[in-house]
Amino acid sequence: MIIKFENFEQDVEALAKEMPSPLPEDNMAGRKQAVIGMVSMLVTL
Amino acid sequence: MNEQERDALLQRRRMYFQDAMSYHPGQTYVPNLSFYVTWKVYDSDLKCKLSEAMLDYDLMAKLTNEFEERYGFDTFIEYSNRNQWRITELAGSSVYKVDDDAWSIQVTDFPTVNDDEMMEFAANPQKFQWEKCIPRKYPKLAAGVDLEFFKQLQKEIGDFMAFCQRMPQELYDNYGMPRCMDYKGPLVYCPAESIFSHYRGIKNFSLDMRRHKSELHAMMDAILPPAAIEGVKAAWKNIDNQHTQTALFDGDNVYLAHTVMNPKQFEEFYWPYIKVNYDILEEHPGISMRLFTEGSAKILLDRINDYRKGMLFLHLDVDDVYEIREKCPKAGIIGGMDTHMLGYGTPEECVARTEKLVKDFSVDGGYIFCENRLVSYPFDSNRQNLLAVCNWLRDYNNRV
Repeated sequence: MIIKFENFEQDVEALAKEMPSPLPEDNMAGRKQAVIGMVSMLVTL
Repeated sequence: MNEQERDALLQRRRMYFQDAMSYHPGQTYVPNLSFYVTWKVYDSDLKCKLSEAMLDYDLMAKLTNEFEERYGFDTFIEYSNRNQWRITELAGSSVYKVDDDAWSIQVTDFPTVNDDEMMEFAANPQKFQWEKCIPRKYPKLAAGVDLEFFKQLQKEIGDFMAFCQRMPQELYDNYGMPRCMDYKGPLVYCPAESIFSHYRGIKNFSLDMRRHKSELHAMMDAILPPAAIEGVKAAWKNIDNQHTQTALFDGDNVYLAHTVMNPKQFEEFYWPYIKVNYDILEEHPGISMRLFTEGSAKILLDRINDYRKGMLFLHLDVDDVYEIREKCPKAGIIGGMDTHMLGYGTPEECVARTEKLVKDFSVDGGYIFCENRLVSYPFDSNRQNLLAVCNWLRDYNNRV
């Protein structure tokens, strides 16, 4: 899987499925929010 | 310091904080608040480079403990975690430039939203950040990164968060230092600050307030929707009125973007947001917060004069502490110690300034001793002067 930051929805969906998370697999909304939060933090550093 | 000595010191410091925050005539104790940042690295006997300390959390922790061991501040505003350089290094950003020879950290004013994209940002900030801001700020990522990168990023952010938790805890455990801040509840953050610092940059933001007003308001509403402000108000309905016993302040606001605003622009783009916090706190007697204003605080004074006494403590930068006390008598004062004097003066001059501040402001109370600037560069301070000041203040507080 290679992410190029070209398609927000697809990238977040893919990462939410693959990234290690304490959230259960069926909590996709929470897992997506965690991915968005992690990456958007980079903008504010 | 053994456990008994540590606990005794902790109790004394809490007493100092309570005395200052209650803002009463004849303040007995004056807390010594540290505004030292990267100067801690310069001063350390470990003699490491700035970049080495910024990339090594264990080293930074060691020299921060050494700093407190030497000077004995009552609490810190900054726990050596101001720059998240390890995270941006991993992602390949060149926005931070750390210069070991000049002992400086430069941060580039880097716009990530162009003039004609402000409404596109407002329509979907998360999507815009992902597809436009990240590739612009981190070109290495736009070339393509795999899952392993995101796992490393997750770990790096986790390590940074752990360091942020670790330092106040170590200083509490080792030296009986209470926290500077213990947030009593959520506060409204002015969205102009993130547009100024992260999206439009200082120059563009300054022009936007004249040329792109409606777009700027749209961006601000997208970053902080009105429903979020209502959420903050609702949360405070269930929060008690007692000042925290564990820290000096119950919250803070840091003002940076006001430095490029005139009073009319401040009224339009800043005050309506931040006023929400003060209106809430007005209804919570006992709660106090710190306001740090980069540059001058004068744009605020007429607006905060009507709030209750001791609710707000102004941490001043370039303003004269005596002038602000006269113009804004209900606000507590943090600061007054001139970093130029700490860097270039004599110990006698520094102690005389400290003594004058403490004695003058104790009359009416509501005073916390602190440096007037972030102490970063080698000549912002020197060890002999700082030791003289800290020792004098410790003796002053121990006299009772």
